[in-house]
Amino acid sequence: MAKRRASSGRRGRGRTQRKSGRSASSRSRPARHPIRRLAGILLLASALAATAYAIWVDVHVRAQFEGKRWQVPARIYARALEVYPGAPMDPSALEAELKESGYHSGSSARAGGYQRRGNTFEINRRAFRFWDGEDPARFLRVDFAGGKVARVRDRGGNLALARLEPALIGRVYPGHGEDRILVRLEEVPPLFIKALLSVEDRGFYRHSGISVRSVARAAWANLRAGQAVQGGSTITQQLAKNFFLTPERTLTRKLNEALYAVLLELHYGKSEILEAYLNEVYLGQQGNRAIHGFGLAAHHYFGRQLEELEVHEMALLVALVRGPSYYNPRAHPERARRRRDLVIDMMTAQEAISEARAETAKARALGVLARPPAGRSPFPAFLDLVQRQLARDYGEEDLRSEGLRIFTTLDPLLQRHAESALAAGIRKLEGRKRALPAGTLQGALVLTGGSSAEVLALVGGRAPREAGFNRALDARRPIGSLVKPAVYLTALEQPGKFHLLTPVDDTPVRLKDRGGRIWSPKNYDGTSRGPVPLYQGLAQSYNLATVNLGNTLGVRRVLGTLHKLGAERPVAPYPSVFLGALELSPLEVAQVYQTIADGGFRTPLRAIREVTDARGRPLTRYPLRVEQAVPPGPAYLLTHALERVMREGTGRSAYRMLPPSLAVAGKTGTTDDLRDSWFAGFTGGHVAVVWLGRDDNRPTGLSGASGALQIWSALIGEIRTRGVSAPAPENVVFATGGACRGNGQFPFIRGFVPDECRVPVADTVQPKRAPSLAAERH
Amino acid sequence: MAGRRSPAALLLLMILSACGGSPKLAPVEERTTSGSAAGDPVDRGSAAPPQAVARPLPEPGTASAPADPSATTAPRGVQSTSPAVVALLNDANRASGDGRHDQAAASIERAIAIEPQSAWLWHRLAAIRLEQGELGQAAALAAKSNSLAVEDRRLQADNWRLIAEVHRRRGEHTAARSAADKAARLAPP
Repeated sequence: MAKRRASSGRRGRGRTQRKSGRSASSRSRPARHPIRRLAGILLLASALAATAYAIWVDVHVRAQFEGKRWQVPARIYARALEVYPGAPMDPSALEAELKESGYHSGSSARAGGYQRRGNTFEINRRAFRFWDGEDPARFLRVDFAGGKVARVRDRGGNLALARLEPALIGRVYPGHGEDRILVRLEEVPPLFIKALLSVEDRGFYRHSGISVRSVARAAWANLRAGQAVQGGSTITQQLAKNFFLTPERTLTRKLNEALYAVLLELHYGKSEILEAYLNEVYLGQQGNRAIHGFGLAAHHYFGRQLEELEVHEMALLVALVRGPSYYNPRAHPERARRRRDLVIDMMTAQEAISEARAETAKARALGVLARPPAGRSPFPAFLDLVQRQLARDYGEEDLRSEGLRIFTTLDPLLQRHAESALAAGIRKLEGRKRALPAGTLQGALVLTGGSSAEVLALVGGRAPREAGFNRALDARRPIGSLVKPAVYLTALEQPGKFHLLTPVDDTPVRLKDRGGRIWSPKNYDGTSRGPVPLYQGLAQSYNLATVNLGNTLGVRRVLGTLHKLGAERPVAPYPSVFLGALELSPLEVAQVYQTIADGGFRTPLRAIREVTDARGRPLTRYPLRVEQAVPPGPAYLLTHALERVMREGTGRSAYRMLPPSLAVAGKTGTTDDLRDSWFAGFTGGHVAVVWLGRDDNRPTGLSGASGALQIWSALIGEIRTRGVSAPAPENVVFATGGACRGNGQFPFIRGFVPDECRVPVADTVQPKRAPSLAAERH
Repeated sequence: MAGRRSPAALLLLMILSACGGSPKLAPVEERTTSGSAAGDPVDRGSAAPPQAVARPLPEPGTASAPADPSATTAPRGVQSTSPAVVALLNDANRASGDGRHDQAAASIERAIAIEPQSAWLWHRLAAIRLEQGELGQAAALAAKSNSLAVEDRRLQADNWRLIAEVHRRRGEHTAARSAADKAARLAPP
């Protein structure tokens, strides 16, 4: 606003100037002498040229300063951890979370620090702008007991809940790789400004862009010191140089620099210029990434925010202005230290700090982080997903330059667990299978959260730090038996015809498939079993039973169910679909199983919760949306069958790693010649999909059970989750008896309990929870 | 700043106009992550008392006092022993009261992340969507709440009243009446 008003004022002045210009040219008209005329023309031409140049410069200055002053990369955050009494969490998990967020252990004296004493944490949580507003800095105390958060307090007393600062997991860089954390002048400690001006520009508030006095003073200071300790360039000149000019040292450039500096001072106030300088100055390099501005430099060298710095740290940043690579404290600590101490001395000379404080500061070590916080995202596969989702709603340029803040659903600790489960599992399996040349087995893993369908972790390959082929999103492979739940669900949606014990023929079948070919599928073990109860077809993954069932139902109907569950890609309707001759990515599979896990309610998977602009104003929220895809009764029956997969069927080896009390549900998937090994399953809180295979699509020697299931079980065994425990829908009853005896209780849709299972357990009273299958087997 | 002048600069000022623009970004909005419209989870079948939805929830007996002194009192009808959930519900109610429905929904979503099996929280989210006029979402969320509320007939009745209201607003009077009847059978108002 202020800028607009100022510019209209300038326009007024411009008009006056134009009038005087015209009168000057009319005065030159009477001159007739050819030489004088030529001189006049030349003068006019050069005046015009100078004017044109000045106009160009001025436009450039203002465009740069006012338009897009800085391209600030979008910043992408993990989900903020909610800490509240009763939260199921271990102290070690909280500590790991704090480390992911870049908190310093050992002391909670400064913001961004924490101290752990056994089961008690003291956290000096930074102020943070969440989607829904600024949460001021807080001193939190968190106590743990019995694997849970027992108490959360701040200085004012007990808290119902507190959010931690989320970990920064990635940025979307502008093409030139410049990165910065913008600081506002009022956020910068006054002492830091004093330090900066003591060294770089003592006359800053008095000069008008260029300063003869400061050149003289600098020369004198350098002479006295016997080395170049001070430069004659004002802050404004330095800004002009950084903003607009190339670094070569020529007289033309010097003159240009002065012109730019004067123009800047003409258009803008001191505080605007200073703020611009603080954010523009180049202070280091990390690979392709240029470290610009003190905000990012504080992060890069100390893992701190600018306002958290102590005197010795401020002095080092100021020291770096003169030569970020020459004084690079990581490469040349001694040199950097001498320069830092010199800055401290200059601060003392300017009475910015007392002698005593200066001595204390000089006694401190440099305090620079041995390794800078990662500039590249540690989670490139997840970031890939986020960027694809963002690309639907935002332009590439906005993401690279507008400093958007993107709040995602990633759980960094679950992500680490998922990465190591996949990598360790792959190594183990490769060691066991001779047929697999080392390094050829690949995989992907998707972990989502129940109910809210958030993507909590995503691993795109066995080397999760490497960006590249993202198998979780882009490896579309035949899903094999993972499709079977869609077949059985289609049947169970017709309670008048099918229930879990309906006999299904596991007998050989010949069907016309794609291109009129005759297709005669086989069971995994080559045998056929005759009539089997419907649930067993799924639990034991019998191909013939499934194809016969599917054939009765119809391909289109089964594909319709698959579509309702969330697989939106069109699939050609051939009978081989019943055995999974269709290709999906692990993420697409996760969507399907998420819907089953949520009792037939489909919620589109989300990786982003909110997007705000650079100042924290909300732009977009991606809300939790649900849609009832299949009725709750059949979905409940299907889940029961999928639990039986794990208790007595092809997934039972999971319980070598899982506690028997944990109810889980899922399905193995294997494709021809053992090329793909799949497992998709869920607990009461999580859905996970694992795919294993080779990029060249050669056989792996692994079935779904011997490969992917092992990794799935290892992961589920390691994370905090709860068992499948959805309440039975109102139209579901449990029954046992007759043919059902020995198999435990089965759920049926009310009114469709088969005669052989009569002796209903509860035909009128709702059971609170499904009777546990675990109780029968263990 | 006005005190210092450079002749060259002044000369050009006449031509230069303040045309710097800040990047324009969309106003706040909610987006679906997939293009699909919400399906209708509701039984077809009849007109409901429209006031049913807006009325305060009946006290369901087990409403617990917050275990924690820092937690403010639970809103009426809240079935949660978690002070965190109670605090988030209070936030949501405040936001709803100010007409900040997105904010209210966000707080409820945070609460759902803590207690995903709480039928009551899903019902609250449904009620917020109804206030926003998102009828499809309101009905789907009420159905989701019902799928978890197997033992709470009062809450089921509230969900059916909400669904009836959705039908009424869509002009589906038969379906609205049938939903209202279901509600009345479950728990007479």
